[in-house]
Amino acid sequence: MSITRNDDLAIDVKDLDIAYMSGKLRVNVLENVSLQLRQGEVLGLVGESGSGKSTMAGVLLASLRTSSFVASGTVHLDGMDVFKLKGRELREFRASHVALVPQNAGAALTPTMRIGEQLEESFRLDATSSATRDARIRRSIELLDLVRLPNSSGALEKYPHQFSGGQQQRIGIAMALAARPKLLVLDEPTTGLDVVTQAAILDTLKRLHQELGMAMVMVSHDLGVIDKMCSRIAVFRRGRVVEEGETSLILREPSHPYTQGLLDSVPRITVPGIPPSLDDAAIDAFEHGATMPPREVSLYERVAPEKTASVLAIRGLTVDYDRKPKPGGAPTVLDFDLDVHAGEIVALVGESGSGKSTIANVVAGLQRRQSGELTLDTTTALAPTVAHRSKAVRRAVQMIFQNADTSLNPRRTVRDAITRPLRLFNVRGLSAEEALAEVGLPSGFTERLPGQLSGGQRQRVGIARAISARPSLVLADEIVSALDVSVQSSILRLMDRLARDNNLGFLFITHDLAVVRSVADRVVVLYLGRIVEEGTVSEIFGPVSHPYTSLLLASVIEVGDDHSETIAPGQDEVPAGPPARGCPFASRCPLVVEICRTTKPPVIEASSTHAIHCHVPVEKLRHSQTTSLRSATRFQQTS
Amino acid sequence: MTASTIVVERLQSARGFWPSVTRVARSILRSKPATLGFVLVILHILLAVLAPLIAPGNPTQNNAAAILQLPGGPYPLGTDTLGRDILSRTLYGGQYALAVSFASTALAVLLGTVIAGVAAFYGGWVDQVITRLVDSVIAVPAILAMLVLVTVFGSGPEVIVLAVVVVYTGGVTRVVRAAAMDVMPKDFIVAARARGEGVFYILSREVFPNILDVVLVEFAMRASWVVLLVSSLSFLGFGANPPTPDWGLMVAENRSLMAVVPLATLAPIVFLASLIVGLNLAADGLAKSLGVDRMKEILG
Repeated sequence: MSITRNDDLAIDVKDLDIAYMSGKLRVNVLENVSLQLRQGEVLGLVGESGSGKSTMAGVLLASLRTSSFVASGTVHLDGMDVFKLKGRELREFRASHVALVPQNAGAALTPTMRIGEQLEESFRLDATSSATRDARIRRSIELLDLVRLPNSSGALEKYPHQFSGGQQQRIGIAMALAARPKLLVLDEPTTGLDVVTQAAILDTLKRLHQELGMAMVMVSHDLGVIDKMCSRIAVFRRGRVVEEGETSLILREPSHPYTQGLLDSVPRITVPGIPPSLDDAAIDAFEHGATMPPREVSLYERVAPEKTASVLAIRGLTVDYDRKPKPGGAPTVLDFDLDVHAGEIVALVGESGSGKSTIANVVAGLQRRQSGELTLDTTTALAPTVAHRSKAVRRAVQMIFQNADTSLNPRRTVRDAITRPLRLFNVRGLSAEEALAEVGLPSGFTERLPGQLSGGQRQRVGIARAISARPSLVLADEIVSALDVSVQSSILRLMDRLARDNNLGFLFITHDLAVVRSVADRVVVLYLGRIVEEGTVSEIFGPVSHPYTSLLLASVIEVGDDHSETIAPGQDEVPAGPPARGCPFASRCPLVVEICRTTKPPVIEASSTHAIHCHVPVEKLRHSQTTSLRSATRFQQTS
Repeated sequence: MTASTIVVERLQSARGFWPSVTRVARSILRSKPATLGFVLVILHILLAVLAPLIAPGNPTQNNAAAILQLPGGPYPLGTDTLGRDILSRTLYGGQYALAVSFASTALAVLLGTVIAGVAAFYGGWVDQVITRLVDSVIAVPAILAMLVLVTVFGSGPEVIVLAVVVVYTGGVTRVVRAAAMDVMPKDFIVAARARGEGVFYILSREVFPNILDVVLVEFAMRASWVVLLVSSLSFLGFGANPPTPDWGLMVAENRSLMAVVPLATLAPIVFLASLIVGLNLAADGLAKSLGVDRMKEILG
């Protein structure tokens, strides 16, 4: 880098230490951080949870968490030493120079204020746009058009809850842009969103950056997103920047084992197999002067079990949350069939609102169904609710939850959590210690409380609690989505091992296609509560698929893509509910024909295991070249 | 970096029952108002319990020879119209106030917590019925409802306790229900439901340990209100029956002679006021030490 004049730098952080006091001990949150970013560039901050990337994002807004302080170092934003600013100056700096797009726009927008008012607040200091009522409205509409919010003039009178998650995020971006900031900080802007919505929002952000040319800082744990958006990248680990530089360079040839480990632990939609997990010990050794550990690229490829007995069979399941059917409406889940065999991992995939969790709750007996037959272990019919199920049935179906933080009672020890199902279901010959050993945790953990465990450890305890009941079917609802990638792959390997060793059937619910590719045997793609496609994992990720699956696959953003694909406008707009007739996907489908809107699509048998619910002839369902091209480039990279 | 890791572990290891009790105690001692509150409450409890040992005379014995004495001699605070020792009556008065208030508050909080748990667990129409009932009970002014109950059932201490339970259970239910509703949708409750656990297990093992702080603070807050309410009843002549030594009753008996023996009114007022202030400060301190911060820390 050749930077001579300070004014060229949007961000100039030098030797920054941010710390807080815990009693008499000083704890560094950020240590010796130096970062520079030129005007108009995009910087990505990457790292696992707790690595200090969000603290860094706060610093760039001249803000610190209460009780934290700048222990040493300086932060210059746009040439100004921001931690020297006080009161009014600081407020004016924030109002005119920096803006934040928070992770969850739904929570960041004031629920009782109309969108118009909220937008006006953010450009209040701008004299020309807030001069008259007309000028304010014009500017608000201009901002909403800028972020491509559909029907921008009508939106001003609406309240935040009337928008979908993606639209709320667009409004959040519009608010951030309102004061024409020179630096835009985005804190995990697309993390809670579905893949298609994420891709559309990122496209919008990319275009906005080209048009407006401000400097941007993007915090994300998703390397694909960073690769698409950022020209520079800083990798954080435990409060330090371990590597910093041009994105393409660093992601292609990482010089630090941590970056390398992060890259290698991300599962890809183009390659089957579970990636290796991050080796913390090797990285620590490297930091203490050891040589770079050899790059581990061996993927573990799961082999699907053959011809095992069925553990769960669902036939014709219909669930409706509306007690009285509404005209024009349709049940949340309609005519759903599914089989899970012993030792098999079946993935149920779909966007939020597709009814995945509803189906899991029906199987668990927590949600009533309108109709449908559920059969356990080929013989036992499952009663609709838990109260009507025998102990043996309750024992045979176990759940693992997405959020390990709330799935364990914070007041009860690990031993309490695990021994309860053991006692309740009279499982003999298994102690809490043995159950922990099965999920790879030391026996010393039994007396710990959930607060004393890391996220991955908590998830293992959650798995141990489910497995210790010796079930035949496990419902795993998004069990890795809240975890860091480095921990994710070890949990996936655990899942695979348990399926094989204990002959367990897993119903694995997820929205993450890369995870599906790495661990699942069979995949069922759900859209608005209807199956659109099912098949083995290689068939689903193969060249022929339902238009919806194709859209999902095309929306996934990964490191090493050329990032040229864009989502057509409107493709990310999910209707509020399924239509009463025809194909559920008709409103978004690029291949839609008239019959799709009126008649339920037939099932096309692409092979004996691969079924696509679509009116369009199978020849036309071949993907556009992109995904196959992508897999080609990816293979070159790994080999 | 190793330094901070150690600290995090040390912070986290300070959980579990006894460590958290000491942590709460330390945080209370750090705040002057909270410490004052606890000191006042403990002092009152000690004075009431030790009244038979430290009181100079019999609180209910009339002495026609020594009526309306000014402080001095065998009567440190003087005597009232019937010649009873004011200091002894005030000290013994704490027994009635504390016993009735704490017993009724404990019952109200216990009952309210159970009802709240049931409402939160079942939800739906059970919750609706309970909440509407609670609303209608709360709508009636407390003192009015108590007057009616005491008029109908007489004014023994057990009736006062019952009356307080009727009046205050609703308020407790509402607060605890809100806290329980916050815990109910958590996944560990869903897990328990999916295992087919019963209502008793889920409430006692999974829900209540997580809302214990709310219940404790609710107890301390209610206790201060109940002390005042019980004394008000006695003052109005519906509470303790003469010659029971009771603060409210003492104020009522002696207020017409305020100019002659001012301490006969002032002493019970000072005791009552200091107990209520003490309970309030203690409740406040307890809320801050246990309260919202702890829930945030553990549940994120």
